[in-house]
Amino acid sequence: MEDRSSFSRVGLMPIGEILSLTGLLLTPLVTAGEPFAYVSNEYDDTVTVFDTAADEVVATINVGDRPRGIGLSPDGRKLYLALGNEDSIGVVDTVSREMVERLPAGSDPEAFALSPDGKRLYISNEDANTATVIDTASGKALATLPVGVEPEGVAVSPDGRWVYVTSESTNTVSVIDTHKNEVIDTILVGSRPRAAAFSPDGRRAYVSAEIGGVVSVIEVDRHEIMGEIRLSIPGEFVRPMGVVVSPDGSRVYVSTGRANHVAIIDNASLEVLRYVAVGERVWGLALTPDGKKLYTANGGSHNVSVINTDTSEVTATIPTGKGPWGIVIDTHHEK
Amino acid sequence: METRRTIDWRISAGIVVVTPATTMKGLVCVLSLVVISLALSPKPRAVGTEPELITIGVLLAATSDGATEEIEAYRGAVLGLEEANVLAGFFGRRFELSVTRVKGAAEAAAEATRLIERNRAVALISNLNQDAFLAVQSVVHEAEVLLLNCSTRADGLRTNSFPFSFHVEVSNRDYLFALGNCLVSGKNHRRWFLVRGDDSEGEQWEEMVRAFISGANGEIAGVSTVSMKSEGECYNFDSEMLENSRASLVVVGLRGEQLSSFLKSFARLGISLPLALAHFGFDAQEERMAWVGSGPVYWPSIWSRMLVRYSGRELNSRYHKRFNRWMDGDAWGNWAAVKLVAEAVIRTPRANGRSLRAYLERQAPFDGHKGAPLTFDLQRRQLRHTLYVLEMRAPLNEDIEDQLEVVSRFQMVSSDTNARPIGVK
Repeated sequence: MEDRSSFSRVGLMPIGEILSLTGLLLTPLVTAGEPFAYVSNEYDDTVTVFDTAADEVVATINVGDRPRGIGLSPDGRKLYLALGNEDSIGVVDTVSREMVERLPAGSDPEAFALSPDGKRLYISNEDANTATVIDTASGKALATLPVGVEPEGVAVSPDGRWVYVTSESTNTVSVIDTHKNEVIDTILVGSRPRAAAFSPDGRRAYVSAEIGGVVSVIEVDRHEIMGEIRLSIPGEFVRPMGVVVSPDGSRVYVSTGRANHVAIIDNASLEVLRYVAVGERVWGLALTPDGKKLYTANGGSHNVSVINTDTSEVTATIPTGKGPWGIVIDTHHEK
Repeated sequence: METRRTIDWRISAGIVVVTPATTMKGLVCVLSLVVISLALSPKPRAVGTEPELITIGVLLAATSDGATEEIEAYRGAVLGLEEANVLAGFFGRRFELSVTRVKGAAEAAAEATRLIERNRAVALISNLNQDAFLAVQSVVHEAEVLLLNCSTRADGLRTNSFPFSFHVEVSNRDYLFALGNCLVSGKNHRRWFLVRGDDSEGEQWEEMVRAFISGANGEIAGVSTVSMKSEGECYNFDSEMLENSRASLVVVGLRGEQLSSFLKSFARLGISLPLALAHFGFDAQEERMAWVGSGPVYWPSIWSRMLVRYSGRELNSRYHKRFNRWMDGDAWGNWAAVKLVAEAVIRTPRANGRSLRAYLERQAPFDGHKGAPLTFDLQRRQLRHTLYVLEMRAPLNEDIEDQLEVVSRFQMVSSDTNARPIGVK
């Protein structure tokens, strides 16, 4: 039996929140070992915990009503969950695996991202057309910023300077300057943008567009579109949803919703290398710190597919609760 | 009544409503207020510059005495405008609706000309009948301005002869296809009893139904016709004829007063056979509440308050929050039309008819909160979207909303195959 207490773990978030921790991924703190993963289950109000060494479920945690967005504090001790039907962010102690706190989150929170230092939560409020900035220590809202209509995905740049918030009904990305807590720019992207993710070096960002069927590539220095990747599978209606970037920045992985595949994109050429068939209605994605395993939350088949990124093959399927939505991998907190 | 007193200004919302009899003085007054309002309005993100004002004309039929604000098509356009202006504000532009209510084809053509020449409307949204739509279409064809049809269902209008015309509303044939497939395949109703008008439109409708049912392995069990000459006259439905036909449901191709009279007559008889309404639905709660029949009622629609998936819940929620009512098909059509124009304007370098038409013809995917990219079938100039079949179960109880359900969804795919079922909710 492995001595798990020696493991270090790095958090990876499902739809772009990976970026807030990307800096940590590349630090010497990362050591060999397989961390826990947490999956938010939208329809039965639980979180499934599995061990990524064995790819086996180790616990199920009861949380609040309609958990979707999910993220971890940098030290891995706090698991944050957007509870859409409670207008709050639930906080789970990852040691006791119990809900310990609820932070007010504005109306109908769906997705959020943590700043790299864990001090700020940036939340999209879908029916209020705003993004809320929360101080994680006090739980107080520091700012409420108007963004586009029906805000959804949130991502923080690796250096913590920029927050990108997608808005589904205006097809825009609002750029928040975290120094000023102001929206300083707006980028027009594909139709119904969902998730956003930054590259580990923070120079590029990727935004999936569910109806547009594309991933927009943004040059972060100028907050301008530099390219567009069209996803297409014959006979399938491809809905680009979750996005993660490999730790070395060479690959971008995009889930395709009801097309039940994950697209693997070469970041240099911006071309799709391959589509990997996974479970039904795939959305949330997470990578292990070494980038060797990709986990996909399959909302329709109530499970997680495990992809070996070297072979691009599914190596395991892990059962979850009902409607798995997002995944995060803890690589810091010791078991 | 002096029409001038119906002039209304809602400048702050970017909406101008005028009647056709508005005098030049009135128009000058309206336009002055627009200018004042723009001067006072908050600056968009394009700091230091005035937003470019883009006008969209909305033509409503003056068929009722109700206020414009009470028309669902108008409400849908207003929600579309407000959402479009969030987007436009980011890019230094601002949209305005110029809304007018007209009677007849001649007035419709005159108003269309005024909207294009005086108001410089980049697009017109029509909520008019077929004759009035055709008159407006001639005007926009000459002026090369975009025209979006949100009300006329005539199949004959769906051609590529008028390249600036686009149809958001669905044709009679599309609706029949969606409804018929649900009834035959989903509900196993294969013997249809038809009720139609005794005019040429009714004859054409019967012909269309016969063509559909023969291809769907069903049959027509009987046909009853209603006089279209006497408006509001009570229709005495021949229940014996229906009983002898051994039909499994009654399909009604009536509208207006004739439909109202038929429904009253049918309900009084206490017949529990399912009823399918081809041209009309109980979309409004008041209509559902008024129904006293004992069998289930089916109708096709392009939108429903019951939609939840694909952010249907979010759009319904926004509409309800804004108007304290639920969005129906008319509202969705006008919301979609305004947003289509707005997207075309924002994503094209010049807001003129040719570039907007080219944008729509490029098949850029539009998000109608229906879970699929919506594009135009260019042969028919028809927006391909999802149709829904609603079922209202009877008898009604106090919680009437629990008895309304989306029972089938159809995705329109092309002019040849028309529509295909994509599942039952």
